[in-house]
Amino acid sequence: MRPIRDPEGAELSHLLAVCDLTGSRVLEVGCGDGKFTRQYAHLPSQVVGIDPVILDLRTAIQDPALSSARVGIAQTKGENLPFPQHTFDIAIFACSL
Amino acid sequence: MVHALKEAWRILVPHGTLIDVRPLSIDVPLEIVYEGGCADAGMVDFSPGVDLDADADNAMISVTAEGIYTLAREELFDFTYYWKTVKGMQDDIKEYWEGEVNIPEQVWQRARQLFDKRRPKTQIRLAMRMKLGKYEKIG
Repeated sequence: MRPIRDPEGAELSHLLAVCDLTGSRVLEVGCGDGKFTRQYAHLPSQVVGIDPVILDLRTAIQDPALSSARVGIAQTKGENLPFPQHTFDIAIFACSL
Repeated sequence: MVHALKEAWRILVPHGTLIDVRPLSIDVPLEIVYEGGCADAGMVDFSPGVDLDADADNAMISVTAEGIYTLAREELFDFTYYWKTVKGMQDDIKEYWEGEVNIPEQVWQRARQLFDKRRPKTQIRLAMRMKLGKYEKIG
């Protein structure tokens, strides 16, 4: 039985308290199945979630909240990011350091 | 970890923001919550993750010492998990948290005793302590 995670929304509220995601370009390193990504994905102008584990990414890709054209999901590692320099305003390591 | 942080530095715009949010490996109580109250079943041991915490902390110390990031803000908060049954939590811990947490048998026993009181809206709660660090890219 999987638990109910953070029903109070503490993680998201603390993230939003320290940075404004609205209209920004966000990279989430270690997005897993997208359970955190989906909570804020409606705010930035662009979100890219990356993770090395394909099984988790398949769940993320099938998530309706992450199906927007503004959201990208990719299988890669944080040590080798396939993006040019100065691509993102915000990089989030959510439980991935 | 340092390599990933340097990659993040490369793809961030000047003065871009890096967020490091993760649980701390400190012991927290296992609680039985119900309508109108909660009861403590004992402490959950998260010490298996202490080395990972130290590695992550050291990576952040390394990149800030190098002068490529500066700490702008740090916050601590509780991140809660709720299970509907003790058995459900035990199965979940066994499948997904193996090696990350130790829960002594006496804590499980106490949890079952408290849970079996059948108070309204009883659930099991684990509130992990989280740290959120906001860093600004330098250069």
